[in-house]
Amino acid sequence: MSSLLLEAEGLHKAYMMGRFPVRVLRGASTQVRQGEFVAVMGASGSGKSTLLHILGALDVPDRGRVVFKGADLFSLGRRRRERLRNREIGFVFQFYHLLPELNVFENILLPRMVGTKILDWPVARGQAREQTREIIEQVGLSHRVRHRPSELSGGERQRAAIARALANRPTLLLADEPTGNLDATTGGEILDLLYKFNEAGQTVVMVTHDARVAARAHRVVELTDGRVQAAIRG
Amino acid sequence: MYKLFLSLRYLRKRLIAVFAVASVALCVFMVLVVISVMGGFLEMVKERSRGLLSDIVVDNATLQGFPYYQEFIDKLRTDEPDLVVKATPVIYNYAVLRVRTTKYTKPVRVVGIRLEDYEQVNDFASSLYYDQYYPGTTSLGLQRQPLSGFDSRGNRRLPPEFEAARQRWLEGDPDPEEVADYQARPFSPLPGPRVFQDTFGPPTYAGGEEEELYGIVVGTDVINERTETGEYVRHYPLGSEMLLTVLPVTSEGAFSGEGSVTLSLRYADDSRTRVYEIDNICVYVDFDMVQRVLRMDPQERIEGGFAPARASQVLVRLADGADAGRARARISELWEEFRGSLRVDPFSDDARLLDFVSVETWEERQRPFIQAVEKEKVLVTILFAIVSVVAIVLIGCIFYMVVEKKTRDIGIIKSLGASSGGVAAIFILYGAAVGVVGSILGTVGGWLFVRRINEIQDALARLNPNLRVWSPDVYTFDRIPNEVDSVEAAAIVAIAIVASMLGALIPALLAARVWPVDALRYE
Repeated sequence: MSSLLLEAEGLHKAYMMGRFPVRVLRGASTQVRQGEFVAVMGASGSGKSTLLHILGALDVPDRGRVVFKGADLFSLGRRRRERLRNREIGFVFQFYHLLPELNVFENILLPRMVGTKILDWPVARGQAREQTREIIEQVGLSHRVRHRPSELSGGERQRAAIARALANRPTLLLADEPTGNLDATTGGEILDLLYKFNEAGQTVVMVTHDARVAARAHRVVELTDGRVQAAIRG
Repeated sequence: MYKLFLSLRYLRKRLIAVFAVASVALCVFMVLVVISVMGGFLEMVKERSRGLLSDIVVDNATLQGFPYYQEFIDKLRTDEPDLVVKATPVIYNYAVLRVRTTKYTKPVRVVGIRLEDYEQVNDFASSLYYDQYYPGTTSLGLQRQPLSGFDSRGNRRLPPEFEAARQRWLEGDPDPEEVADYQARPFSPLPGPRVFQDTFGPPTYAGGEEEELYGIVVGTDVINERTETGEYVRHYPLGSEMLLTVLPVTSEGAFSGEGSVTLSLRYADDSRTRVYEIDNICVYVDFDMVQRVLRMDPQERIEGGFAPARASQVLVRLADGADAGRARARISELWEEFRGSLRVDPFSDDARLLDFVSVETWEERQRPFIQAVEKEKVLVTILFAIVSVVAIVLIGCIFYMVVEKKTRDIGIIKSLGASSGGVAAIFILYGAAVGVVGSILGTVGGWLFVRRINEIQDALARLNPNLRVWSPDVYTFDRIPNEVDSVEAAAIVAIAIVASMLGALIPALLAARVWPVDALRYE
């Protein structure tokens, strides 16, 4: 049995929609183990994305806690949390979210830049570029490094986004419907890529609507009305 | 690292940055041009003001002047030989000038000078017109009118003294353009037609000894006509007879009972100090001659003895590098000492005249004039700086739009672990980059514009004469100042960069407050 990487307990989160609060999470709890591929499923508005954002320290819960590698995420200082987001967690979004002014290589290099101080950059630059080239090769975009996002297909953009998420070799990869904007074939290729990384040891938590995706996951977490109903498999 | 990288990338890749850069560049350009031209104008005024006076001015601001000036000059030479290079007395008075051949009269200010000494205490020599082409020929002493005639080969020539002087001019370091002009018409004397009276015989001087008159140097705007291009048209040949009517004033301040005195003088040269207020009114005559005419030389008293000679002013030239302020204090001290040593009846007119004497530096003397221009410079700079505030607001607006459009990117950058401070820094650096590029462009543009401002104006004037904004027939300075002060330019650049960062500050803080989850919902 692999070790516990992340544990969420009793997460509550409400948003204001106009003048009315909408309770998205109502005590959601789950666990993620090292090397696991977890699929988070649920109806629209069930709180899947919110859960993912909280697990990745992008958002803060109203109540509850997330323990990542033994540390309570939301007891950490802001700086440590930002550092953790940079080093330990990678995000992949449905709409890719690449910076349009940067080419593929620069987009993928960006997390390395964020994590390196300007004075350290001249020393770190060589290694960072080398590792960026490696990850680009792994996602199969070596022929597109100088292209801007607008010059790429949807599948290529998502590959670039995955490469960026993995640029700092994070412990946890969080993917929010990464195939939601792609056709079935391309989506399948992206999933294959994610499985490939998972097989190499990468922990993946992925929000999806797609039952086929869930079928290939180690474990499925079902969210209904802001609560985890059941860990369907695992 | 990402802050600098992204700010520079936004600068390069976002068209909107071009507008921000352009607005900074235009403001820097505008302020630099205004400061340079006004600063240059101020410098010119200062330089000319100094050139007309001397380092130190001793006077009592009365028409009568003050006595014992020569004794004080002697004391200065004896007590401070290293500090005082030259000291010379000057007389000021008012008169009416008329050219003998016309009925045209003009009020003038008479300046009585010892020409050689006067030329040593200030830049008067460089203001003389004929003296630059015929160096050493201008004199305020007795003289006759030079006539240009023909030599044995039929070439037009001037009297030998003038021919020798012209040779000296050619052997000196003359303006190549003027030499070319001279060589193009070898049969006509410099500096052009109508400046010498012609005769059909050999070159000579008009009349005999009875025609000898004292010389007068006339401020160029008193008798000459200034054209639109800033050149002077001379209507009277050198040596023309001029009549100067003066009113002697006694030491009591009364006009002499003998009434006005009219002097016949010869036009010896004209002076262009380039300060219109001076060139339009001053005429220069021999000190000793005018002192006698104005009864300011030693006068026999009814009660016996002599009233001492008087002068209006003593001009002092200091040794190079001497501190004017300290020298003024020292000369003041010497004056007090000198005043104390004089045995003058404390109730006499002489005592009153001596009591009014003050010692000032040229800058103190010209302060009202210089200060007016200084204030103008400050005022215009403030006005343009206010206009430049528009640039800050504009940058604020442009950055606000950028932040609005970049909200999603801000979310992405934050999701990669960037801090709020880091995001704010991207936009502040972006502002700084806009400021740096804009101010460099503005400075280079402004520098080129200021350096070529006269050529630009000439080109515009060729298209349409009404476009000549700096008209030489209006301004004393015929060229627009075209020097850029590097310290001022650096200050403008620094202010522009800070202003651009300030403009970017509020949008940057707004960007820093963007919540990544909210930002990522944008699509």
